[in-house]
Amino acid sequence: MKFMNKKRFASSVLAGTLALSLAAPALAANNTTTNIAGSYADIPIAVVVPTTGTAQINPYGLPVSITKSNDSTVDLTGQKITTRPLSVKNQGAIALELGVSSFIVVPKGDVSVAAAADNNKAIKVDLEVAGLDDAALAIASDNEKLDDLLIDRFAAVATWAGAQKLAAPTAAKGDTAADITAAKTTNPMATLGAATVKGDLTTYGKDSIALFRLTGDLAQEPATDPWKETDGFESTIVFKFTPAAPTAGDATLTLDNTTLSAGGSLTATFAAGTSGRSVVAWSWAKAGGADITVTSAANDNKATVVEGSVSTGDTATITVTATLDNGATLTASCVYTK
Amino acid sequence: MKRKVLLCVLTVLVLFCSTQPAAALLSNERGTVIEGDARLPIIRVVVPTRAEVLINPYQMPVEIDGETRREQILCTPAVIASTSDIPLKVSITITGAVKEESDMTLATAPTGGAGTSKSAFVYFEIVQSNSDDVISSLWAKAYDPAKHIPVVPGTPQTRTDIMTLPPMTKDNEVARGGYAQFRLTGDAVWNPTTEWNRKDGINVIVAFTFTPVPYT
Repeated sequence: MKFMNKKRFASSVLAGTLALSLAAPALAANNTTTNIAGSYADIPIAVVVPTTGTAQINPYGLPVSITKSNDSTVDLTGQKITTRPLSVKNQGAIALELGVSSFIVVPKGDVSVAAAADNNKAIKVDLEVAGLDDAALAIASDNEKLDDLLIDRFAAVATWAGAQKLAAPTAAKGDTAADITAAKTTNPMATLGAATVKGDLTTYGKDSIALFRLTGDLAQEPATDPWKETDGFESTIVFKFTPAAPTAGDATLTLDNTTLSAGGSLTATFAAGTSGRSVVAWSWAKAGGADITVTSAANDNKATVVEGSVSTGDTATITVTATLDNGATLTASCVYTK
Repeated sequence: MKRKVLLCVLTVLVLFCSTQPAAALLSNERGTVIEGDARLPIIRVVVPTRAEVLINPYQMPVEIDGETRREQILCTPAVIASTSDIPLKVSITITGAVKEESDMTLATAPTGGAGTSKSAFVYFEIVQSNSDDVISSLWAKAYDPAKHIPVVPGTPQTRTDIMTLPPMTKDNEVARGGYAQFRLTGDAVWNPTTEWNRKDGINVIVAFTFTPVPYT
């Protein structure tokens, strides 16, 4: 059988497709169906991350002076790898988990990167991230004090006590970026709290900022060849930000009664602790207890419990839920026994 | 047509190049490049290359820098000063020898001026200070083997980590305690059987070693 030529065949297919496309809306209308178009709404990540930074191989831990806005200086001392202050700031209205999707250190000069420093020029390099939780930092993003406060926090030893670490992958002397398998972590290295955004004004939360640095270890006096000015490295870090589930922090929710019988009332009490959170909505729910009724005014932290006349033993778990201003929820329960 | 093709290829290449860095990062990723260089300590100590020592057994008046002095072993002022950016431990090796033409000897303990052999006891003293001037009051009153280094002919005498000089100030000046004055001093037999003469004398080499102290 002689088949139609290719051009004619393609033309027929295209015509068919066009006809199908045009006919679809009419068919949908006749069948009273609803088309729901689903598309991915990209989550806007509003973070401030420095594109560059500087560090030093500093075998003797010489002081590196950081000058503050009032010309006073803060010294970073005793660090064999010394990094000038670096920070990541969340300027968005949602909390973010900060992860690292790529971390490499490309050695320069005679340097190599290893899991542990040796007595020559193999250096160990770690990326450290310290999430801050400090009410003094809950200030406007353009506040002149912010940089100075961050310098102080960066220089404080205590800041780094709980820092998360990610070791740099090994790299031989002369390796290029292409030769190195990047390190990464699936666990968040910090959670950056949401900022409050009102118009052009962004105010950080007390936990919206994390500091980061390169640190590590190296030989003070390499056995075979002293340190030279040509020795160094170039590190590239790619931070990954994903929305964090909102948390209540140390806020708590309690009921005045955890058990109840013969009717009564319940009052929920919210304590913010140091979280800075507040309740935006209350709701009550009941599980079990068909003959037990819980009533509450709309969006109220108080409820009244009434039992019916059916004289059978009955229990219900009454739960109050407080929705916080950041979307986190807290619950408390009372067991009612009839 | 060739021109158009070339233009298109170039445009595509330009677009590709200019979008490459952005394409490497996802919308929820941000990158930082940290340049690391080597910070090496600056070791900078001014050390006099030469000083004069005089054996003055009869305690004749000798004028040095406008000051009349009468010690039996006299030394011209000598001070070291550190403008390093790191603390330095100072170690010293003293090597001494009697001049070839001399028949004097070097004693291994103070003579107290007594005796009949033509002998002198010479020791090295160094004291940390805040000034580039020699301050006489800082010198010890007497020889102390724990602090001083005797000049022993032919046998180098070394003391390690005898002091630590602080780093320079933030104004790049010598810090307090960043100076150290040193001298050779001692005593000599007052009236030896063979009299002291112009041929008598010693040569002493003072070698300083400066070791950086890491910050912790």
